[in-house]
Amino acid sequence: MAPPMMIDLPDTTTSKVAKKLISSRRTHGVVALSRVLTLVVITREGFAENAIEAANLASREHPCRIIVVVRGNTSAKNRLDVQIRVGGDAGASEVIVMRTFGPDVVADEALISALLLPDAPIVAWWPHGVPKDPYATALG
Amino acid sequence: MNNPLRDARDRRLNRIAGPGALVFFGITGDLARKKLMPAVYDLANRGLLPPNFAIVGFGRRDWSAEEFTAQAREWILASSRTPFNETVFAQLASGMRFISGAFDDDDAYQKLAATLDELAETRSTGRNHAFYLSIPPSWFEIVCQKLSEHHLANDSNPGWERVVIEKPFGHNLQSARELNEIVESVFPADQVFRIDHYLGKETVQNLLALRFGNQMFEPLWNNKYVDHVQITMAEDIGIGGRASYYDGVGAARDVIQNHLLQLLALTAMEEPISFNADHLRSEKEKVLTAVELPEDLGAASARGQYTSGWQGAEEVVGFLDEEGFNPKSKTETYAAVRLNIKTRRWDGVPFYLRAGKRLGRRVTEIAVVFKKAPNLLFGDHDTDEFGQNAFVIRVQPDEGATIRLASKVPGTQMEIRDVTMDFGYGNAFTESSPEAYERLILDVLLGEPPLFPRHEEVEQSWRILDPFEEYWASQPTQPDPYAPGSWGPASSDELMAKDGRTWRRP
Repeated sequence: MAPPMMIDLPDTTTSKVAKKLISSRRTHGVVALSRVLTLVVITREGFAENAIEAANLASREHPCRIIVVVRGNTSAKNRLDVQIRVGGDAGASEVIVMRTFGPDVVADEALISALLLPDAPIVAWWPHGVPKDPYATALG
Repeated sequence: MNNPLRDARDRRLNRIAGPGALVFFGITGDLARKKLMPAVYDLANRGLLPPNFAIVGFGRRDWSAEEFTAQAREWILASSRTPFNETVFAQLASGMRFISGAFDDDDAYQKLAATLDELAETRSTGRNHAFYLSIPPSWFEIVCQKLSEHHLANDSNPGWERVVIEKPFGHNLQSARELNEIVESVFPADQVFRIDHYLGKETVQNLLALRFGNQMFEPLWNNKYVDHVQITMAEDIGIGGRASYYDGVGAARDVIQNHLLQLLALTAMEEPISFNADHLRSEKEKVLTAVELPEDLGAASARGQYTSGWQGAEEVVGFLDEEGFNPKSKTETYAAVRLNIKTRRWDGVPFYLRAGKRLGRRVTEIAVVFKKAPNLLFGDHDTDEFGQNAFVIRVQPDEGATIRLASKVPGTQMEIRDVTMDFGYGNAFTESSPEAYERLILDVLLGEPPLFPRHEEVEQSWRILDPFEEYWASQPTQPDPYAPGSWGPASSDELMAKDGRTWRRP
């Protein structure tokens, strides 16, 4: 399979990412709005690529968009790096890999809400280290 | 005057503005730098302005025409949407002038009059003048008065004189009336252009085309099929540097009074008999007049203020913690209201309007949510994820429309789930709708006011909003806090929950 087209947005904010997504959908003809669900994968550094691969495979069977939140070093400076992958083996739609650094940039509603699709249901997946009470977490 | 070489039935050719001069008051302001000047350049670059077009900046800076031109060049380079073309800019720049002075300085107005005379001579503007008041409303009176005193308006000038004013049009019904009297004492009513830049003409026309150009929506567009309507305008930014303007104004006055009520009028109005200005406006006015206020204003509204926190990897300063801001301010940054329209078509269909800053995503949309289907066949499908059909008109960003419908999931099981069908202007026409300001400025120059709100509509909007504002002002409590990046305070969800509904996540 062809490698996906990757757009790197280091040290960014989600509102910039959202703008980039709209323009890249236009340029590359990726259809996101008719996807039935958004899969949010919450993982940490080291496990990310495996999780993305599994999610890509799943996206062929169940067309979905994938948002991967990778938790990096929490004692570093607050920062968010984002990589958008479209086309090729990035599955049926787009994959957004968000790497968070620092104590305050955490996977919660405010972090991903700008990237969600209207109305579409959200499925959260913790491939490693499922929280004891997922409902009690910020994304649960 | 009609061009004999053009046929009115030919829609392929663009309409081009005639000769004239555009005078910007408050040219050094944010709006003029980021939007107005780039929009004028884009118009020129698209060939929609005549080559002898003139621009006069009026501001307090002590600039010469050359300095103004150099500044304008930078603003255009930074924000124009079309590529920069030196030839186009040089042509535009040759018609640029700058008047330095305060808005109440008689000398400056004399210089302005002399400059406009000079432009009429050298650039053949035909003495057509448009005055764009990109200044705080408190200055309107003085500027209008001075323009009149110096025979720049309200005189026997052979050309046209138009004035453009920006929202807010007053801060309540009474002030709106006073403002209107001032402006209309100097300019005739049909030469006053009230600009709501969020609601560009293109958007309005798109909406009208969707509603009335199609046969399939009209039969469903009533209380027999529609359950409720949600109109949302969410911004992901905060008040930033506009703190001094925003205090005492709030989301309801800033956005609901003009933008959202106009969208409501366009969604709910009857079909106008033509696109003629009067016909369209009278339909909007009728439906706004039919809007009925809820009896219990508290139960039918919610308001909030965003707090400090992290939003999308960005640290956000809470509304009350903004620097130099009144920490006890009761001004709301989020407002939601429920309205009813007492017409045969809409009786019993609530319209929910919400507007806020620092919400999850920047989006403006109208969601028409239909009643649930009886679903005799799928009565035992309680767990399946399908619900009400919805027709969503996205105003911005990514203008378009979406229909949500239920569909069977492929497989031997009869499983039902919601899917969406999507249309985007950007995809369908490979060209996005033109920037709102371009259309607005061009319409002013062409003298085409139909889609600008008339004063009666502005008054009706205040009639609807004033009781809410008075009710909120009478409450001793602060607006409810909400986290940045969320979708508003819990009280707004309760507003919907009381009626057994929920907000759509836009």
